[in-house]
Amino acid sequence: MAMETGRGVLFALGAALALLLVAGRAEALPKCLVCHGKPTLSKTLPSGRVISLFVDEKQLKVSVHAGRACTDCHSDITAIPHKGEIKRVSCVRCHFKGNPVGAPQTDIYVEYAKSVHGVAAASGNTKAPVCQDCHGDHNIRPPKDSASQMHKAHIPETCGRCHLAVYSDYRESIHWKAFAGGKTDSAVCTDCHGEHTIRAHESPESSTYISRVPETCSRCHASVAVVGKYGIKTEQVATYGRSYHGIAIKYGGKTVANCASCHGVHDIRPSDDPKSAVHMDNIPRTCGKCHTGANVNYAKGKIHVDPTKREAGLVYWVSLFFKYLTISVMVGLVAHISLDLFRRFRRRGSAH
Amino acid sequence: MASGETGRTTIQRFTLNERLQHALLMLSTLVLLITGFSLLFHDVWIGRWLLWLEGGVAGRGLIHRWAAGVLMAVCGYHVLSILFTERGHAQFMQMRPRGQDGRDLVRVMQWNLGRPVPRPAFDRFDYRQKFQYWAYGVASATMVLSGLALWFATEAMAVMPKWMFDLLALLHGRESVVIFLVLFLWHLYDVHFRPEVFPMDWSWITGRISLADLQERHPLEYERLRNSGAIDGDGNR
Repeated sequence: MAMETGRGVLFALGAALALLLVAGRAEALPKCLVCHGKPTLSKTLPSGRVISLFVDEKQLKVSVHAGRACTDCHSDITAIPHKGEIKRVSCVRCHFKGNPVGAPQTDIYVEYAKSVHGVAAASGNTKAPVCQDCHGDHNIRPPKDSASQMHKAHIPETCGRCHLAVYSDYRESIHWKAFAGGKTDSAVCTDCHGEHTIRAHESPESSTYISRVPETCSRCHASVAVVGKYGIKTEQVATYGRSYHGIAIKYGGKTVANCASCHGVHDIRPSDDPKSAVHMDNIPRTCGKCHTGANVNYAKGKIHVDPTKREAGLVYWVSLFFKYLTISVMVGLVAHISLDLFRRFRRRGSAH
Repeated sequence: MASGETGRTTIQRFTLNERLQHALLMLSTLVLLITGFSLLFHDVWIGRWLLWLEGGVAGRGLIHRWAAGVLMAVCGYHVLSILFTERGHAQFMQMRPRGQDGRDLVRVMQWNLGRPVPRPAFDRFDYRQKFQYWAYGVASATMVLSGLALWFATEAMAVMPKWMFDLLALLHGRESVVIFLVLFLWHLYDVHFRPEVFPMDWSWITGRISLADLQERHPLEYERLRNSGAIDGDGNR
């Protein structure tokens, strides 16, 4: 009987403990939400800027961190109500390679630390983005999730929250128009600039550094699998590489044109768009950025000229002429020399 | 080889002035070909290595243009000497292509193949030397003209359409290969590797040719000089 009672008490205790453990984690949320669940909760920064302190429980419940307690991230809060300055959440508490809590195994924050954003943030620039500025905070979702602010379709908007002028240029570009039209191979910010590795374009490590732009554009524009399927020519990269611009930039030229010098940067438009920098009517102005006094002559002729293609016109025919001239000169001279030697050795061998 | 006096006696073939023209053209052409080919073959190791050696595209361009300046100066001087000096004019008149040069070429081919034809007799300049002179002349003219357009691209583009500029750029590169072949396959064979001159025909440095060689290689000139009394047994002019 005593045994029976003991067992019953033990079971009850165990059940209560289990309940407490589960409920305790779950209960932390409602506790915080007593204040942070009010949509009007806000705070005025010394700068005068008002920031919302509202946490949308519905969003949090569908985020990747749905199973986490508030204090898992806001680890400096130990009592409710909390006092003093609340620190920014540091994602690397969990997000590092070898973490035991089930976060993705990645050391990408090391790359971020070297990026233009990471360097600025580390130097004390409070406007520089940290993880949650791009990835989202309470609404964080995997980048593949179409509701994530890191989903490809939302990247321009996310970057545009800080880079507003660039964003409005980009919205006019063929890259965005194509993307919005369902061609999801089209480039958004990160396709050219990189993600965690992002650098200022003045940095030689940047994918948008003057001499690295051709390589960056060529990742899509030299690929039949990417742009080819939309009917965009892929040989433009090769013809650029053979042009003086292309050669000079490859060997350290700092004042020669790369793709962006002519086609534009964020507001790249197709050449048949009258607003495009490479539209026939705008060629003199575009070339004139470097070639002082550029006139309409610059538009008379193909720009990405390939001498081996018939569409190059006279350039093609002259190239063909020189091909056969070179071959005949070579054959003719080798024959001439061979005959000369033939006679000498033959005569030496015979009576002579 | 003729024996006796004519074997050792030499007469002047090229003046110091002509030898200097040749030396400067040779040097500038070599530099132009090397610096030009480093751009033309930029995508293979030799071009990359040469570009590195020349200090990148900027250094390469500078060297190329200096050499082009020398070439243009010598070519300009050469044209003036043809027009205004007796010696230059006389040499040029002997360099003019004639129908005989074509017949000489055919005859040499027949002779080399062992056909029973008399060995062709050449005058002061044989058909090979004339061809090389004119090929080099035509190449220099096109290279200088197209090169100037590339050098002064902004000025050139003010007056010519882009396709013409592209054409000149193409011409500049392709013509350089042709003249390289003529100079290296033919001219260098003639003056270095032909068995009778190997390892080198020294006349481009000494300016002199032995009477025996003159008689062998330029018999018509030899005869003419003998008949006019310009050379006697001592080979003095």
